[in-house]
Amino acid sequence: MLTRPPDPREDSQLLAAIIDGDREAFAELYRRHLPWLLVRLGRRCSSPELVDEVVQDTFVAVWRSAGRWDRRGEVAAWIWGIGIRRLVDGLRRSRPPTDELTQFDGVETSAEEHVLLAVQYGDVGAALASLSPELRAVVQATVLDGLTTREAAQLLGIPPGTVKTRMMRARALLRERLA
Amino acid sequence: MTGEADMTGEAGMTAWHLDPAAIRRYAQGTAPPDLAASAEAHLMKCAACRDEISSYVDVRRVEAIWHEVIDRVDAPRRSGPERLLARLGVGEATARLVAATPTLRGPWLLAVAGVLALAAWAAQVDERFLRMFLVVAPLGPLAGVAVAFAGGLDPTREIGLAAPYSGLRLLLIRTAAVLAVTVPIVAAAGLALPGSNWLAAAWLLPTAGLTCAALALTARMTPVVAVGVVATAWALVTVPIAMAGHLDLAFGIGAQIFWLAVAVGGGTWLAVTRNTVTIKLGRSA
Repeated sequence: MLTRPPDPREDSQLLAAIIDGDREAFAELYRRHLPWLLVRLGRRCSSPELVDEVVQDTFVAVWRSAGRWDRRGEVAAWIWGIGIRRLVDGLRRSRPPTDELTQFDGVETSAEEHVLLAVQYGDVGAALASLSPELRAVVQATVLDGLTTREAAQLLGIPPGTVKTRMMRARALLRERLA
Repeated sequence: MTGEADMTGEAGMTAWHLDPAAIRRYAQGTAPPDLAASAEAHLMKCAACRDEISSYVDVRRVEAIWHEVIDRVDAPRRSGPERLLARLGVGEATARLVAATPTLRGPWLLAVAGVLALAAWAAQVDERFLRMFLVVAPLGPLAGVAVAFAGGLDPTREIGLAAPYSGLRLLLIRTAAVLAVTVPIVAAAGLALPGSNWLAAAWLLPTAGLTCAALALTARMTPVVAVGVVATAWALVTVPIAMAGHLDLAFGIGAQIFWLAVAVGGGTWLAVTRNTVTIKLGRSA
């Protein structure tokens, strides 16, 4: 499956073909998008088994609901939206909340905020790096992963109110350090 | 790695790409937070860099997940009732067993509803038919149980005979499913009876008693035969009584207590013998 010649079609054309049941197009879309999804979800969950299950769910959902793509934006972003929500569901089902904070071993920061702030204030990486892991996890889940407060709370295994207060603290700290 | 040729392919995009070292560190999970964040933002927009990641992912893992995905894509979609049951917290296997019950198919349910609607309508026209309704009502759910195990109709029968699955458990699950669907139909028909008094519910305890008796008998015979025996006994006893006009005798307080006792007795007997009894779900073909 991985040794076929490259398919010239764009992602959006592949999705259109998948709606018509084109298995080849599905294989190509899978070949293109599985690896990064695996890596990106793997950074948010310490269990490879759960990640495998989640990407499997995600691509089954892509096959079944290709018609629901709204034709705007990147297909990759659409797939990510499905994947991260499946991960949130998977974590909620599979584990007690106490385990979930430890999954954020590699805590990342918001690229969007990074760029915006860097333009205005200069070096932001150091400021973000100076945030505690708990605060950075919240910034990442809400800003970079595009999750709602409730979804972020499920992903991190903390109450939604805590997500809000941590986000507020993170903003205040960033503002202070970058001013 | 990210050759210059990639730039032409992305009109309007920046020609900037993640450098190979950054991709390696990100893919291996060793990238610091700020690098990972900017990598992820870029990856959403750049197919070339996404492709670069694939060389760091285990091919066997990719293949294994692909086979799982294809298996699920090829699997028949679960039916509506099955999905509903799964949503209610019923296990996948149990949901499949319940959904495969022949009784729970549309035509069969329509037939039960039709017969009972006819009986209820007849009772409106002529009081004498009210007795007929009461005689017939318990037979609806009972026949449903029989149909659920009728060899020729059950698509899972051959698998069921071979599977290491408790026969009693299957029997109870299916019976519960059949009752959950047919009893409301009978109840709806009962409410349509003229002068809806206690008679509208008088069939409930006899139904419970007959069902429990049939279940208890399955230790000795197949469910279909057990239901047949019980239904015949019911008809032989109640039809003459009802025809003679002694409804109180067949459905009065005394009879209700009797059927309650049968239900409790049959249920208790099943509970007590559940570990030693062998349920015959049908002769192997």
